Amino acid sequence: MTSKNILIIIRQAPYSSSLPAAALDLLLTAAAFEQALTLLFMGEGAQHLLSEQHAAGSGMKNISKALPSLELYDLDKVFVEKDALLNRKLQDENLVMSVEVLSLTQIADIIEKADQVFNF
Amino acid sequence: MQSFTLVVYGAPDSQSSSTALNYAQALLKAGHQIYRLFFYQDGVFNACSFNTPSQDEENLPESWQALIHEHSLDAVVCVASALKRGIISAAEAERYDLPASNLRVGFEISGLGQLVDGVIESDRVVNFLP
Repeated sequence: MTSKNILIIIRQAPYSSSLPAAALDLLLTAAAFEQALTLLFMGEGAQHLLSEQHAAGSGMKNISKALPSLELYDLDKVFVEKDALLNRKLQDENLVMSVEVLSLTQIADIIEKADQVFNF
Repeated sequence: MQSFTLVVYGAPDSQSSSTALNYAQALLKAGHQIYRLFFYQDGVFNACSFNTPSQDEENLPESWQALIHEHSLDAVVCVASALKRGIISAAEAERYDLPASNLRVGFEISGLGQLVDGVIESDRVVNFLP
């Protein structure tokens, strides 16, 4: 099967819409098709990485709980935008998993390298 | 000539749907091939056969259907997105014992795998977010 480099970017805040959950659905489906996958959190999307989210009553899916298990799916890399963390004072110890931090220049580079980009 | 998969995320009253439709028409006119149309999230409302907009508005589901019919396009509606929004084929209506079905002729309900297949098989995938 042809393998493409698929970059999935999550920009929407948690509980704002069903798009972040859709991103995860797409990621898992693409993993089943053995595609090369990269996940990147940008802007408000970085808040999905925050641990201790209690979503009961929000009526929305809490995707942060599923993030640490993504390593099982042969995900190439999980990245987060540097400024997204800094602007929200998010630190490593508050996150549900360890992620590699990228500058905007590095982000431009991985977008350039991807065969296909999905924005959620 | 290139092959395209278009992903529509917006309902018929969104710019996403009308821009995607215009884009699809322009692609075909320019001699490109549409490998698949994929209706995802609120985009599944474009596959509803119950839409009755007022007379001075375009009926986008009808326009999509005409394009799909005219060019024999593969038009896939995401099953998870469709079922939770009430876009129901005759088969699903029977399976879930629902009072009616409303999937427009020309559209087919299938899984997210069809979108990934579109990524693998097409030269380009273009997303139309709301």
